[in-house]
Amino acid sequence: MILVIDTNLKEVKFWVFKENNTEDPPVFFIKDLEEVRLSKTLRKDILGFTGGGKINAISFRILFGGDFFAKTSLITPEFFVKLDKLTGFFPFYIPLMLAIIKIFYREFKGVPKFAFFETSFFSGMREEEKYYAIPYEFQKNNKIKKWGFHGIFHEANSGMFHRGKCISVVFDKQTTVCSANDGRPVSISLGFTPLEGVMSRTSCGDLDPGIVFYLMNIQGFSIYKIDDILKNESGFLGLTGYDLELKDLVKFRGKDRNVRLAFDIYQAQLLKCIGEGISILGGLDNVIFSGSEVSALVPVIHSLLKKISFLGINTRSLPWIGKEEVFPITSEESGIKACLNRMSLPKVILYATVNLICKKLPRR
Amino acid sequence: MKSKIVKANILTLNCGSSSLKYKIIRMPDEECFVEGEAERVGIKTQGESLISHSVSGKTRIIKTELGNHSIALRKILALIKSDAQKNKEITFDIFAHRYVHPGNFFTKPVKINKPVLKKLKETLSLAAIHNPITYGLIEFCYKEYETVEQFAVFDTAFHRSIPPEFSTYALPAKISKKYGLKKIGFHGISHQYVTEEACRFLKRNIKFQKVISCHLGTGGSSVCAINRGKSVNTSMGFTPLEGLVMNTRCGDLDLGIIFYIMSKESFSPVETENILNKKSGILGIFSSSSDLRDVVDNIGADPRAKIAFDMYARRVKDYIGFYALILKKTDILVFTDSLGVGVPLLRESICDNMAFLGISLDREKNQTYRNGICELSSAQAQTKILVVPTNEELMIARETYKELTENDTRH
Repeated sequence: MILVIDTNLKEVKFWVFKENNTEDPPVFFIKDLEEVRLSKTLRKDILGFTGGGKINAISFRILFGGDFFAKTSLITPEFFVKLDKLTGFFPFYIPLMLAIIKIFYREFKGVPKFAFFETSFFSGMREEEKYYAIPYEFQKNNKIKKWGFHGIFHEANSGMFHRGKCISVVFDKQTTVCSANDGRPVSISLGFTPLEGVMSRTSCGDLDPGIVFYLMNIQGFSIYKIDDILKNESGFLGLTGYDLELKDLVKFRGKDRNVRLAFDIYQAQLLKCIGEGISILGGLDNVIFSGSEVSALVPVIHSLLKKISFLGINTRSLPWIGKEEVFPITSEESGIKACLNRMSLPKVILYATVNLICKKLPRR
Repeated sequence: MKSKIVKANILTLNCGSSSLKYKIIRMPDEECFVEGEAERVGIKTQGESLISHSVSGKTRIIKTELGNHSIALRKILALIKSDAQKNKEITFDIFAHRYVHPGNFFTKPVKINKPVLKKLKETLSLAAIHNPITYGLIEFCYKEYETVEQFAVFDTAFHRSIPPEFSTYALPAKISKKYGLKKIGFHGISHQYVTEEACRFLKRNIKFQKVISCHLGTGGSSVCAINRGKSVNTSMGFTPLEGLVMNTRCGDLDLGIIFYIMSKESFSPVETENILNKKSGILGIFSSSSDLRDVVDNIGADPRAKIAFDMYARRVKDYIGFYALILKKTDILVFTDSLGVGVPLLRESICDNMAFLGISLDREKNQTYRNGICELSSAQAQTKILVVPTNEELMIARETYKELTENDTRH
C-alpha cells in the first residue's frame, strides 16, 4: 500500500492506495490536524483504516519548495534541515509540515517517505521567465521570483508527451496554465503569489498594478482593504455577486448576463496564458486539461478550444466520454491533440511514487 | 454656402516619458515646416541629452542639458523664436498637446481653459509619468502664452471599441463602476495612425484587415490588436503601468509583490508606485541605462543586458501570441516608434520562431532597413510585417484642426 498525505492548516487528508491495483478507489479519511499532532497511536489508527496491510511508501504534498527542492525529495534527516530554512516564506505552514512529517518519520521507520513539491517543476525555467521587471538586486535579495504552482500536475501532464510542445491547464481552486517543451517547463501563469495569472472564485488574477496605487493614493483605500478585495471579494464572486463554486456557477452561464461575462473574462485570461505559452514554444502539439474542477468545466474547455480551432484543433462534439482517466477530446485527424485528464492529485502522486520505488511508470 | 477654409499653424507637443517631440504643421495643407525632438530628457542613460531641430528639412543637433520637460520646452521655444527672427513665416498660433490619460472627463479633443485645467489636474495620478509632465507644459503655455489657443488631444479614444470581456477587470463590479476601473489603453493616436498607413501602403481595405500594432518606444510601449480598423485589445490598461516591460515601468506584475514590498520595506504607496513606474523595467534589470538601445550595445558583454533584452522581447511575443489567438488570422504586424523602427535585433527576436502564426521575418531586409514604411516579411509569410514610423504629431494636428473647424469661435 501507498499512503498519500495532504495537509492544510486545519486538517490532514489521507489516501491509501493499493499499488498493485491502482484502478481501485483509495481508502480516504481526514483527521483533525491537532488530533494527528497529539496522537500517540497514529500508526495503529492509520493501519486500522487501511485494514492492516503493509505500507510500502508514504508521500507528502508540500505547497512550496523554494530553491532547496528542485525535484521530489526522499525524506531524510537532511530534508528537515532544508525544509526548516523555508520557514521565513511561510511562517505558519512550513513549521506545521515539519511537525507532521516528523511524526510520520518517527512512527513509520523503515518506510520510504517522499516529499512532492508544487513548485519544484518550475525551478529550471529561464531567467527572463522567472524574474519580474523590477529592480534586480531587490528581487535577488528578497527571493522574489516566479515560483509557480500546480507543478505536480503540470509535470505529470507534460510528462505524458515526452516530445513536443505542450500546454497544460489545471482547474482547481486556482487555475494555472503551463507551457512545456519536451516535458520541460517554459512558462507558468501563477507567480510569486497566487494573485497572478487567471482569476479564481474570489481573486482577480492579472490586473493593472496601477489600479492598486489609484485606489490607495487617490481613493484612500488601505493596503489591507485592497489586499482583501483582490483576494477575497474579486473574481467570479465580485463580477457576479454569487458566492458559488465554479462547478455550480457554470450552470448559470447561459442564463445570467453577469455570469456569462465572468466566464468570458475567465476565458480571455486563459487565452492570454495560452497565447503567451504558444508564442514562446513556437507552436503547439498537445493541450491537456486536468484538475479537480476539470469535469465541471467541460463546457468552458469546449468553448475555449473552439475559439482557437483555427490553429488546427478539431474538437470532438460534446458530451466527452472516455473510459480511461486520460482520454482524447479531439478527433483522430486533429493536427493538435487535446485531452482531458480526470485523475485526482493523490492519484498523480501515487503514480509518481510507484515510479520512484519501482523505477518504472505504470502505463497511462 | 461654401464654408470658409480656416488656416492654422499648429505647434504639436508630444511628451514621452523621456522625450518631447514637436512639429509646427500648417493646416489644412498638413505641411510640416519645423520639427524636432528633445531626447533623453530627465533620465540617466549612457548617451547625451540633445535636441534635434529641423527647419524646412535642415537639421541641427544641439547637445544640451535637459533636466526635465519644462527645460526642454523652454529651449525648443527659444529655438523657434530665434528661427522666427530670420524667417517671419516660422510662427505658430495654436498649441496642441498629446495628453495621455484624461480619466472619464474627456473622450475627444478639448480647448484648454480654466475649468478644463481644473479637471485635468484631477487626472495627474492616472498616468504618474506622463500626465504631470504634460499638465506642467499646458500650465506653462497657459500662463506664458495667454493669446495662443491650446488644445489637448487624448490617447485613449481609439480604444473605446474594446469589448467588455477584454476591458473588464475581475474586480467587484460595484467598485469598478464607482471608480471607473476598466482597461482604457494608450498610444491610441499612434496605433490608429500606423494601422491606417500600413493598409494604405499595402493597398488593402482596412475594413478587411486584422492588425497587430507594436508601438515600442524608449519611454512607453504597448501592443494593440485591431480588427477592421477598431481596437479590440491593448496591453496597457487603466494606467500605462500594465502590459509590456518598458524603460522604467515594470509592466504586468504579480500584485502580491506590491503588498510584499510595502510590508517588507515599510514603503509608502507613493514610494512603491515610484519604484514600479520610475525604477523598474529595463532600468531595474540592466541598471546602467533605461534605454534598450544601450542594452543592445552591451548584450554580448553584460549578462544583465541579455536578461533585460530577453525579458523585453519575450513580453512583446506574449502579447502577439495572445492577440493572434483573438484575431484568429493576423494580416499585418506593424512595428513602430523608436525601438520598433530603430532596433533590428528586437524585431528579429520578437518574430523568431513565430512561423506557426504566419509570422516570418526576412532577416536580410530587416538588417538593411533604413527608413520610411517598409515590408520586412519573408516571401512565404502569411502575415505582412511592416515597419511604419509613427507620426502622432500629424494625427494630433488633424484632430486639433477638426475640433477647431467644427467648433471655431475665432471667426
